[in-house]
Amino acid sequence: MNTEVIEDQAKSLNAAPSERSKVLLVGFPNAGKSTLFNLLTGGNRKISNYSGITVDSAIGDFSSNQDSGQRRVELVDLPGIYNLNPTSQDEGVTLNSLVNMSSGPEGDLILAVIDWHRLEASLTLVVSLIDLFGPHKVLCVINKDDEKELTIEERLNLEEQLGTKILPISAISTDQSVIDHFIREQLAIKKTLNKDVDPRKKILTISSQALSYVPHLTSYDGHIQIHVAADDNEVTHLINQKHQQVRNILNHVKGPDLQPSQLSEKIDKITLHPLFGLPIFLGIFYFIFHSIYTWAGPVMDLSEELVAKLGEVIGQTLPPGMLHDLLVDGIIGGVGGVVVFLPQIMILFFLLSLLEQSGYISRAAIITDRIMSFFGLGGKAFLPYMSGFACAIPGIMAARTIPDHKERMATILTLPLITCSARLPVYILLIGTFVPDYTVMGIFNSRALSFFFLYFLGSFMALIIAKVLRLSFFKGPTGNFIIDLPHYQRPHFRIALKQSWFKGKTFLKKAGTVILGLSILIWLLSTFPTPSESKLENMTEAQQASYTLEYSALGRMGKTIEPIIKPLGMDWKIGVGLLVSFGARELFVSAMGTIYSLGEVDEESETLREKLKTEVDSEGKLVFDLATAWSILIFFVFSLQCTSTLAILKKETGGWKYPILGFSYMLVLAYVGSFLTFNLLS
Amino acid sequence: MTYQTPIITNSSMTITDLKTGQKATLLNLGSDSSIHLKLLSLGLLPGDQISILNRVPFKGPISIKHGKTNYFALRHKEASSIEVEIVKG
Repeated sequence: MNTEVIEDQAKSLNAAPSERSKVLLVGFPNAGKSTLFNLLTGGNRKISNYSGITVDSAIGDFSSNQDSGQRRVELVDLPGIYNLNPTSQDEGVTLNSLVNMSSGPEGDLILAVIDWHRLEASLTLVVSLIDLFGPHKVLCVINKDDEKELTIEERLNLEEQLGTKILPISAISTDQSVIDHFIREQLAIKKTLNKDVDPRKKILTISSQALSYVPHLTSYDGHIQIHVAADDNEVTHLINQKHQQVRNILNHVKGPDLQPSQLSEKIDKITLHPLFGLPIFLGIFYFIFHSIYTWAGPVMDLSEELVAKLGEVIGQTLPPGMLHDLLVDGIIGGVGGVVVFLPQIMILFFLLSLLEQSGYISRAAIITDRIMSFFGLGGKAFLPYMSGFACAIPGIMAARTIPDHKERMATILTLPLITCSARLPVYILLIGTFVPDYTVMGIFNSRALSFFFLYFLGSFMALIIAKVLRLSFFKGPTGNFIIDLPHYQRPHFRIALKQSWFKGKTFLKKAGTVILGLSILIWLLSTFPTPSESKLENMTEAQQASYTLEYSALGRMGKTIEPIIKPLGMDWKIGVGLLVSFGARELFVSAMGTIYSLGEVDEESETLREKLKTEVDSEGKLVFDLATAWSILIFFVFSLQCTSTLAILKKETGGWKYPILGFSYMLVLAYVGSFLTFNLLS
Repeated sequence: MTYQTPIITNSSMTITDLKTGQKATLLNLGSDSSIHLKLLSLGLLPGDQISILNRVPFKGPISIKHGKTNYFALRHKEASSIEVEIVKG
């Protein structure tokens, strides 16, 4: 087809801009599909340098759709696959989307994303796609060709042998419009080819195991015939054949430069060293916690002062009354107490993003595999656990990559024990207030070490419970662990900053909506009902404030549960904090902020940390000591205080049984853990 | 449909018998089809050359170089099902 015809086609497309086309992103895990998706649609899919981050599909409009006269094109990001025989649930999603995509000249297009460093293996997938859907339905981009190593002759040769168009790109330097144009051009060409469509039904052979990940295809009757192989050998044989075919095609391609892989090999000699591997792994994670304290410390002090000052200014400007109290005690005390943790959240995600981009995570999976397998989990459980450090929800979803149902269940049910970022404000508040700041063994910081310990404790307990589950409810063989090791790459600060900013925004949004709403509710419940004036006569101001709080609905709730939490070293005010934290963990901090603002009688601005430190009970004894602080911390390590996690557990397991089971066992752990901690320390 | 006949040899050496730095030729990808499929998807075929890069102690995973620029790792248990032949020299 010559270029004139293409231009003609493009013109006719411009005449009908209302039509819509879909482009499906298909390729190996970690080939750069999500990067491409973000580039073309301006979306914000998570990007890292390891497999299995994308476990669900996402759809986005091409940014260029807004340009006048452009046809509307949608891009669909799909989980990575190696071949057309899915081996887990997320891969099933991709095959299902592929088989059900609309056919014909107006139909959808596949954009195969190839990793230049895994050219041969990825081309096997492309060949399978071409065989099944025809060369005109498939377009190729070769990603990560940063040094333009694929020569024009090699590209033309490949295009001729495969029958599809190929565009070598580098997600770092290639302009978005080049890729955009490449796709739109093929959409135009495809439209003219309605007579070329092969009328014969194509056969897709998958194993019976694979069929279980695409249950909807059993009743499928469309342009492809699904054939379930008699035995697995038939499938492996077919895939083997494709690989041989690709090797012949690639005879004349020189392939990538050896230098980056040699560098990777050298780095691996250190990071996977039999002796130093584990200390390096621990060191990297300690460094992250250390920086949260040392780097964020000054920023946090500043933002705390600001919040306290804001409360003071508003407190002095507004006349005393309900509005004054709601603003100062409810909103600034509650939401302000949570918002000050923004710097820590952003630093954590900035550093995690750098680490994820570098390619180290796969090495960490290798280093920790001995431990994981001892507890009955396969290597595939490492990555969901890793995601769990940010938030349990993406972690639970990432568990879809685990092929074995029982192993997946054991992973999902223990994931909420992994310390997520919502626990961060509680940890920082209590550790920063009650753990004295000193240097341990010359190099370690006592607070960073406490932090490290809490993270370690959560993960360790997750593994122990996983082992218990794997020996009882979910008994079965451990899935295998064969992992691709991507080359190390220099992390991009821009991507890390974007991730960190995005997480910060999400955090602020939560503070501005859920936390704000619930803080107002907490304030209402801790203010009403109010005691009669006669009761408050003959009391000092401080006594009045404390009596009013006790008289309120929240005060009564706290008093009711006080006998239950007394053995944990907690008074009813902390009890109130625990109660509300079951909505979301950050609410503990916000409730403490509100409650201690209410009890406050002088107008001097104090930070929440100062208030907690000086709080005394009716007998004049300090309420918070180290034992109580650790008791609360241990409670937060173990308990499942997150309604969103319960909701995703229900969704992923298909009922209330597992969320209830998870919630209960974690509550028991939290109670027993706190009880032991308090009694050991006091 | 014809299946590829597995290469039968007298040696029963597997990946776990190789030392760090040693080069070997893959004879087959094992009888477990899930391992077989996974190795195929990484681009390994019988007859390919591999070399051992790192071994995690206490029978931990083994990291392996395949071809010129590809790296992967697998558990000791999986490695013990894959037969190889040492490349001399």
